[in-house]
Amino acid sequence: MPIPERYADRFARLRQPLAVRGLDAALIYANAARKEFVRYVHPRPILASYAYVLVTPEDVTLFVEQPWDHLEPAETVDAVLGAATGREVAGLVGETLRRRGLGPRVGLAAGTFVEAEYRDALVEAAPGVAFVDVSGDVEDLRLVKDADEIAAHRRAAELADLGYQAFRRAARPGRKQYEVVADVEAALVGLGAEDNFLLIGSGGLDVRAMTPPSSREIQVGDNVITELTPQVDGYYTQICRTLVVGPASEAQRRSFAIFKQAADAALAMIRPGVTAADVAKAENDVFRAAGLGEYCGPKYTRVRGHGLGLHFDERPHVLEDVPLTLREGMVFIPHPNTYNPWAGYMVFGDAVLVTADGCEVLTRTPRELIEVPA
Amino acid sequence: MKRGLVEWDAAEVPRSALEARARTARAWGREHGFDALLLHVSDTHPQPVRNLTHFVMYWNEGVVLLPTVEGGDAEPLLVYGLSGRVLDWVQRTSTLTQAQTARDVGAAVAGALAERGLKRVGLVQREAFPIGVLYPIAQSGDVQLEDARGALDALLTAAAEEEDRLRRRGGVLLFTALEEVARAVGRQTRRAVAAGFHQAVRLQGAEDLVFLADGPGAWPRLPDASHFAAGDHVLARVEYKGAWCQAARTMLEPQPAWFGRLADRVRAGATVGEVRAAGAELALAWVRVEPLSGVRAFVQAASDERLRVGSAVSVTALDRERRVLWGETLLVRADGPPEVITRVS
Repeated sequence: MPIPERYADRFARLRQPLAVRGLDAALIYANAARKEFVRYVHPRPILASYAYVLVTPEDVTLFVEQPWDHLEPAETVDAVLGAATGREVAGLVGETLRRRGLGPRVGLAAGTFVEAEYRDALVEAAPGVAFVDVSGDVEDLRLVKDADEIAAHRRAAELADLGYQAFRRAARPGRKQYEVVADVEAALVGLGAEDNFLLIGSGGLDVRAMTPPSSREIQVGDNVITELTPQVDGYYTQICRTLVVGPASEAQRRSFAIFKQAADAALAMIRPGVTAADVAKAENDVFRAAGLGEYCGPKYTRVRGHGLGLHFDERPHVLEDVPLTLREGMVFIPHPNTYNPWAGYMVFGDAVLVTADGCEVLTRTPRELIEVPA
Repeated sequence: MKRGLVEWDAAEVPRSALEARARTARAWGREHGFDALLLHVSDTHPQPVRNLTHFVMYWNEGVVLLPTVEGGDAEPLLVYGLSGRVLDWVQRTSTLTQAQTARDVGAAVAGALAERGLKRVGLVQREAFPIGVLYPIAQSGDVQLEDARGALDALLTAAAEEEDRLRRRGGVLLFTALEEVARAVGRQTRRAVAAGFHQAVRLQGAEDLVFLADGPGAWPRLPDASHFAAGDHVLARVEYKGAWCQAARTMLEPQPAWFGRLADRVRAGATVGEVRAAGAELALAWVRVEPLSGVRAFVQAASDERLRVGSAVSVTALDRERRVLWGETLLVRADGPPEVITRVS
């Protein structure tokens, strides 16, 4: 069955390295936590805990646990094969490789996520097949989004804005962090989000990182920080904001001004041809100029932004040692999130699409320090 | 990613209980000649490390290195892919005091083993280690890796009573929320019902959850904007402090008689294959038997796996002909049929 037109280019690009590298097929793996590689070739949600997609020059086969093999697959798939357990599914994949005479070299994407039990079953059922890591090839393809993918990011951006409105309504003095998140999750599910990546923090100088919600009550004067990342049609779009309960203090305003300046510096830097390192340096230079350079390192911050797509934390990681060159069609978030001694941990950032001559901010929430009534 | 309430309540899980489990695991390791035990942890495979330390990997992955000697340099080390900045949080929510952040968790574990001179190392639940973590350790040369499944069994036994208590709490949350779901039939969209379910169980302290729904005769999927109607199928999961429950319902239908007959086969010593065979005898389209105690939750168990006393198992089945889906979380008892913990009288 020919690949539908809207995915034809994606599959053509996927199959190209197979020929170049002398591979008979590409096998792509998903488990419950890491489904992004499979979602790229199977643009429907996979609800089973484990799945494989086998892409040959001729066809595409989905392998999945029963009963999900009876659900309608994505339009990219020619055949679906199922088995009762994860181990049996892995064995079925191996048997299929052997039966179809695929090998001795088969590409494997997301192979590092394959659990030992399933790897054993796969290798046992396909003796003589050498699995060659093609994760990087698939990741490279995923870096630049096509029109469908960008449209999904835009829909997710709308939900990020609406989700943040729910967050803003929920973050009131006396409410516990997990109660705030319950409101936001309900809002996003009601709007059709498939998933959401969300971290939260609240407090002052004691907050060094965002985490899952605790039962800490929100208090007047708190920084209430979140990164909120709804998934729509597979694609995650993120927004980061800092909210102050009651009027912001002078220290909070002064501190936030640095974050805003750093984020603006990133936006001014982003265009095709610059590197992720250039963007990180643009952000960090603002902090350095303010005497806050030490807060740009790993002790206080993980990354200065990251790619977005079918996973919420993709390449490129925005760090000063990442030389990856930005290209038109990439989607990522520059976020100078970190601790600083003036007002504690603050976050600020919006997902952007790299355009021909710069970038487009995908979210619409005002780019400001948000104050809510105490 | 877990984004419900993640907190350590020492009244629910006392520090002394966690310390006792660590002693149990160490003693098992020493008895079997291991210098250290390794436990993998991720948001989809959290339980062994949760039982040992109460640490919750809300996303990303890590490995806990547990030296088998007591005292001195014997503190467990968490090597993980999260930022080092969350160490304060790790220390607040678990017994772990040492953590090392790493982009390549496997290589960092190999380095930590070498640094400590730990040679004979047991893999607790080897089958669940991802290759990307396992191979760098295995290929580091100096380490002799062996399966240490027995350590997991010892850990599960030590944690069983508490896990049972937590699961019962989760069962109540799930049952109560599903009662509310049934009241929404005819009044809302499936998506709105899902939103209400999310809010209700999260406000009750659930750590994680899943809510799926579809029309009659179908295995549930992500809820869409269709009208929520009688006969719709719902499958829902709730995790409370690491203990999962699952239940499935056909809206406004009573429990089908066949489910009682199917559940009756869930007996200590019975195999998963026997339970599934009972489903075939009852002409059910699909039967999923998913052990929930201590291992990867919501993975269909192998046919030859035997059900153990005190373990929790989710049994879900679809009668496609009569368009009825039903499922419960069952607790395997020493004698007689199992206890249903997702139905509260």
